[in-house]
Amino acid sequence: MAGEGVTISHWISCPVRHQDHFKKRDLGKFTEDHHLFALVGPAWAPLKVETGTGAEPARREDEDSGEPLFRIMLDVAQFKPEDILIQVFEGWLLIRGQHGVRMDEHGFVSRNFTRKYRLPDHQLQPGDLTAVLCHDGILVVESKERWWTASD
Amino acid sequence: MTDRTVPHAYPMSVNYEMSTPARIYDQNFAEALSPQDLMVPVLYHGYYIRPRITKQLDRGFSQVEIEDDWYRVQLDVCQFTPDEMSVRTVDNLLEVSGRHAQRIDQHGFVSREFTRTYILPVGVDPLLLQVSLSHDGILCVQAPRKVQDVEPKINRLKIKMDEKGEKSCSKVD
Repeated sequence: MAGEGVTISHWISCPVRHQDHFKKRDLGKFTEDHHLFALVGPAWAPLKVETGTGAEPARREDEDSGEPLFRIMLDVAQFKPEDILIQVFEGWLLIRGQHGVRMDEHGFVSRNFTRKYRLPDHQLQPGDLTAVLCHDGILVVESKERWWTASD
Repeated sequence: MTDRTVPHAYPMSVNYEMSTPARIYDQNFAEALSPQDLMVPVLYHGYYIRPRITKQLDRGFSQVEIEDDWYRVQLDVCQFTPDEMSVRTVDNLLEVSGRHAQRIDQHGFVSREFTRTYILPVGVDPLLLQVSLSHDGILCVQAPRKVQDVEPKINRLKIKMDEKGEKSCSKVD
């Protein structure tokens, strides 16, 4: 094929298991985006404030720049996503994790736990919350509603 | 079940899959975190992990030591008090279970339950097991082990010759 140009495919710097995800998409749009595989740590927060001073209106439009009204994090590394049940009941958030007997390096193990959190708002519905189970075993449940710091 | 890649935090060594490690970690479960506990993600064996400030790396372990003359299991049960633990043996299985009712911690209410079963190796008498719990929450189960007494029982089987009759392969069809 003489008419075709040379195609250079760029390797995205991300975990190997995500590479398939990027194959058919415009690679230029994906720089190293931490939101795709892990939540940003708290050390990124001051960094964001510095860059945001010049363009505050743009920041307001960005959904991710706000802080959720409510956020809990829980280490559920021993559980699979299907083992975890999240319920909202009369102003309480219930997280249950249960796995039956399973084999590991030292024999057999089964675990279950229940955690309850008081929600800030009684009217909060299950639809107002999002839950993410990150691959490092941390479950994050947070409200979709965001707020911005008063300094803006 | 759908195909899924499960990342693991253990070093990806060739030996890991083949051998049984004497000590495994991450046995404490349902630990609540606050966003301040997480540090900036770092790349570890191709996966981003978030180091935790509060994580005690040497805790939450389960350790099994099998020697010729003694046997010892250590399990970190610091999430449970001594009266919430129970240890029993069923034949050659050692069952350690813990259960605590709803209690309050700095993040909310939590209740937990677990059962862990170890397989006692040959030569360990379940009646001789001794269980102790240290002040920092490590349960230790140990017993003497006698390997010399265990003689393999050898039974030589006789092969009966069948000279007459049909061939066995002709019966199949």
